[in-house]
Amino acid sequence: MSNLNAASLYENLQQPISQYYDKSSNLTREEYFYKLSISTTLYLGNLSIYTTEEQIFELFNRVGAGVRRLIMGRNKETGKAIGFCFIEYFNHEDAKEAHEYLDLLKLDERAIRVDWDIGYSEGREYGRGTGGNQVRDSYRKVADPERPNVQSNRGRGRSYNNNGGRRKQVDEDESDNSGGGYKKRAGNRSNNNY
Amino acid sequence: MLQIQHQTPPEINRIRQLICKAGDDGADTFKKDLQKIVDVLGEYYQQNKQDVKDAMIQSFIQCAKLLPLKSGIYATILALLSTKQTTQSLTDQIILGLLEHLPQIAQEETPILGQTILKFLSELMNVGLLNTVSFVECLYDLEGGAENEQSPFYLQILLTTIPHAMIKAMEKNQIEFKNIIQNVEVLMTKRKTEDRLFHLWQSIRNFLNNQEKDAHTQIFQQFLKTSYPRPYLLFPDEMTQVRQLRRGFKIPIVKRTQIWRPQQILVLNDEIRSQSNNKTDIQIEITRQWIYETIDLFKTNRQQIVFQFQLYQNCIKMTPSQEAQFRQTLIFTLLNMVIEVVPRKDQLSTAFYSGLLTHLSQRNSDSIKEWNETIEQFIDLIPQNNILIVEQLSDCLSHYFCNSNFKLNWDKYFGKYNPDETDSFNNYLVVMIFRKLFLLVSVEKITDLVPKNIIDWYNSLQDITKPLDIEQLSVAEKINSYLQQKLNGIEMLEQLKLITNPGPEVVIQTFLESLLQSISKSITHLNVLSKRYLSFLLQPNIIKPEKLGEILLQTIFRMWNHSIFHLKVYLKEFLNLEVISNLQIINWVGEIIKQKSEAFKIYNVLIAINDVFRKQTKLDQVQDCTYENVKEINTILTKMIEQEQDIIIQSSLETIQLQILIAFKSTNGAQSEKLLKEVKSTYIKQIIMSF
Repeated sequence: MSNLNAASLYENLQQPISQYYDKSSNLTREEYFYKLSISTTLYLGNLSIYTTEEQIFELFNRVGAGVRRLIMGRNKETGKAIGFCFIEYFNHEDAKEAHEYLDLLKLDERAIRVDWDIGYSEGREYGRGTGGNQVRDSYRKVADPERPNVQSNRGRGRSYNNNGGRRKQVDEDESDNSGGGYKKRAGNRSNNNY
Repeated sequence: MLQIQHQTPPEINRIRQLICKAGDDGADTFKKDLQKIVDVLGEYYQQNKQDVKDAMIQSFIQCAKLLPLKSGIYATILALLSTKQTTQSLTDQIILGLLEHLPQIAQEETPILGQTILKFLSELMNVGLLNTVSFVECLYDLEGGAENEQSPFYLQILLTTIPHAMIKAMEKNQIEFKNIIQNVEVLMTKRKTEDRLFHLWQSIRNFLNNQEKDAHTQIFQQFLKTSYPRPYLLFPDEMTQVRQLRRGFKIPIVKRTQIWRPQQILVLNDEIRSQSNNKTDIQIEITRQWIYETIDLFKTNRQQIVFQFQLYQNCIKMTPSQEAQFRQTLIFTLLNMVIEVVPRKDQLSTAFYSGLLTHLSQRNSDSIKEWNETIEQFIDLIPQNNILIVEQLSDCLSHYFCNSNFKLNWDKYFGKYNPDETDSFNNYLVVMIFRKLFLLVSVEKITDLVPKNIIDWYNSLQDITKPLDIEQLSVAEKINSYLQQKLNGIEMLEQLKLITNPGPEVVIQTFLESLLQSISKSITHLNVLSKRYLSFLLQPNIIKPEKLGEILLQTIFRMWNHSIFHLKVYLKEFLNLEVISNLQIINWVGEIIKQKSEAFKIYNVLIAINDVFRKQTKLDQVQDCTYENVKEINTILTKMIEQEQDIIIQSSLETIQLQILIAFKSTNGAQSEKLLKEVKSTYIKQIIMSF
C-alpha cells in the first residue's frame, strides 16, 4: 500500500478545527484526543428507530476486514432501539475509511452521522434522555416519525440545573455518547433478552 | 510533511500555502496568479533567511511529489524563477533536492512515487530546466529496470511518463527516444496481460504511429495549447530565457523482490474500444492514469479527493464532449476498480467507491442523468464469467442508488431479468442489485419511487430475512421452549439427551436449526447464543468436532442458501468459535457443487466463502493455518477447478484458492515458499507474491 499521503498537504494548511472534548469522560484532553486518534470505534447517529442491525451491519461490514462488533443503542426501560449505535472495527484504518466515506450518506433513507468514539464501555448503549431515549429527542421541536416519540420539555424553555441557573442546551454528543461518563448503578438490568 | 505549528513563522506558513494552493483558483487568472507567486517567492528568497529558503525548497519538493495534477504549474514557477538572477539558485536547489529522492523510488511498494517524480521531471524538461539528453538517459534507466524485473514496476513508471515527455523528446532527441519506444514495444509484446499498462501502451503507440493522420493531429494540437497542465505555454518569451541545469542524473535501479501488479481494466470506455485496430485516445489514457494516482495519493481524505476531481473539472477547460469523455473515464475507472475481484494488496472497499461515487455525483447534480446513463453503459459491458463481480458491483451500486434519490432507470435494470432463464448471469445480477438495495432501505419506504411490477416481483422472491422451515417440527417445539427458558449449555445438553426419538444426529441437527432460527433475530442474538451453545457443543464426548462442523454447515446451507448476508455472518462467527474449519468449508462447497444444487444457491455460498476468506486475510487471522491443512485445501481446490465445467463457478473457486494461499503467505511466510513451489500456475504465484 502506498504510504504517500497527499491529503495531509492540505490538511496541515488548515487551521485545526476545534474538536469536541467530553469532560465527563474522566480523561484529560490529551488522553481523550489520543484515544480518538487510535480509536477503532465509531458512533452512528440519526438512525431511524426502525433501522435493523442487519441493515447497519450490511453497509458497514463492506469496509476493510469487516465489523468486529455492533452495539445498538437502546432504551433502558423498554429495550427498544433509539436511533444510534456503536460500531467497532478491528483496526483504526478500517474505522477511518468508514468515517470518511459513509458519513452523512443515507441508510434507510436517513442521512447518518458517523463520528469517532473513544470506545464502547458497558452502559453507554443506553439513552439518557426523557424516558430512556436520547436527549436530542427530548429537544426536538418537530416530530420525527422515525425517532422515539418523546414528551419533551418543549414549551417550557430551557432546563435548569440544581443551582437554579441556566444550563445550556445539551448537544446530543455530550449526553449520549460521552466516554465513560455513565455511572454504573448497582442492580442494573442485565442485557438478558436472549 | 508540511506542518503548521504554533511556533512556525507566518511567512513560512504563507509560503507553504502559496505553493500548495498554486492554481487552485482556476485557469481564468492563471497567468496573473503564477506571476504573483513568482514575485512573492522571489521577495521572500531575497530576504536571505535560511529557514524561509528551506521551507520553499521542501514545499516545492513535497508538492511536486504529491500533486501530479500540478506538475506543469510547479515546473512553470521554477522556470520563471530561473529567469531571474536573484532566484536562479533557488531553482537549482529545488531540482537538486528532488533528484536526491530518486533512490527512494525503488524502495516504495508501489510505483506511485516514481510516477509523480518522473512526471515532474518531464515537465522540467518541457520548460527547459532539464536537459533532454539527461532525461532520455533516465528513461533508458527505467527501460533497463523494466527488462530485468519480473514485475512491471519500472515499466509502469516508464509508460506513465512517456505521454508527458514524448512531444519534447521527439523534438529534441528523436533517435534515442524512438529507440526506447522500440525496446518498450518488445517488452510489451512479451507481456500478455491486458491491464492498464496494455491500454496505456496501445494509446501511446497509436499516437506515435499515426503522425500523418487527422485524428492524431487534433490530439497533437491539444498538447500545444496553453492549459492547466501546460501553463508554461502562457509565457513564451520567458521560456526562452530559462536557465538549464547543467547536470545529469540517474535513476538507481534496484532489483526488487516484491511483485507489483497493475490494475486490471475489465471494461473499456466505449469511445476507445474499437472493433478494428484498438485506436485509443492518448488523452483518455492520461486522464485515467491521473485518476489512479489521485485515488492512491488522496484516499485517506474524502473531502480532498473530491476537491481534486472538482479542481480538474473546474480548471481544465473542457468542451461538452470532453466533459462527457472525462465523466465516462472517471466512472469507468472507478467501477473497474470495484469489479477487480482478483485480490490486490491495495484493494479498497466497495464502501470507499460507493461513497466517492455518491459525493462526486452530488457535485455534478446537473448531469446526474448522464452519470447514471454512464453507469448503465458500464453494467452492459461487464464480463459475465465471475459472480464475485456481481457481488462487488451490487454492493457499490445499491449504496449509490440509495444516496442518489433512487434516480435509476428501473426498467432498464429490471429489463435484464429474464424469467425464462432461471440461472442466467444477468438474472443473478438483477436479483443481487435489488436485494442489496432493499436491504439498505426498506421497500415500503419508497413505494412511490419503485414501479409496482418490480415491487411485486421482489415480494415474490424468497425472503432473505427468514430462514427456511425446520424439518422435525415436534422436536423443534421442545427445543424452542428450552431456548426460551434460557438454559445454559449443560442444562440444554441434559434435555437433548432425554429426546430419544429421532436419533442423536437428527436431534443435534434440529437443535442447530432451532438455534439458527433464534440466532437470526439479530446480530446480537447471534453473538450471545452462538457463544452460549456452540462453544459448549465442542466439549468432549458430546459430538465429534468434525461431525459438528459438517452438520452445522449442512444446516446453514439448508436454512440460508438464499441469503448471502446470513451465510457470511454465520461462517465468520462459526470460524471464530472454531466450530468449523476452512477445510470443512471447502469440502462442504465441493459437496454442494457435486450435488448439482441450484446455481444461485451455489453462487451465494461461493460469494460468502470468498468474503470470509478475504477478511481473514486482511486480519492475518487464518484459522488452522498449518502447512498441511492449507496444502490439503489447495489440493482439493485445484482438483475442483480442473474438473469444473461451469466457468463462473470455476473462476470463483480460483479466487477462493488465491485468498487462502495469500492468507497463508501473510501468516506463515517461511512455509509459504515451500507451498508456492507446488503451485503450477505462474499467474497465481505472481499474485501471491505481490502480497
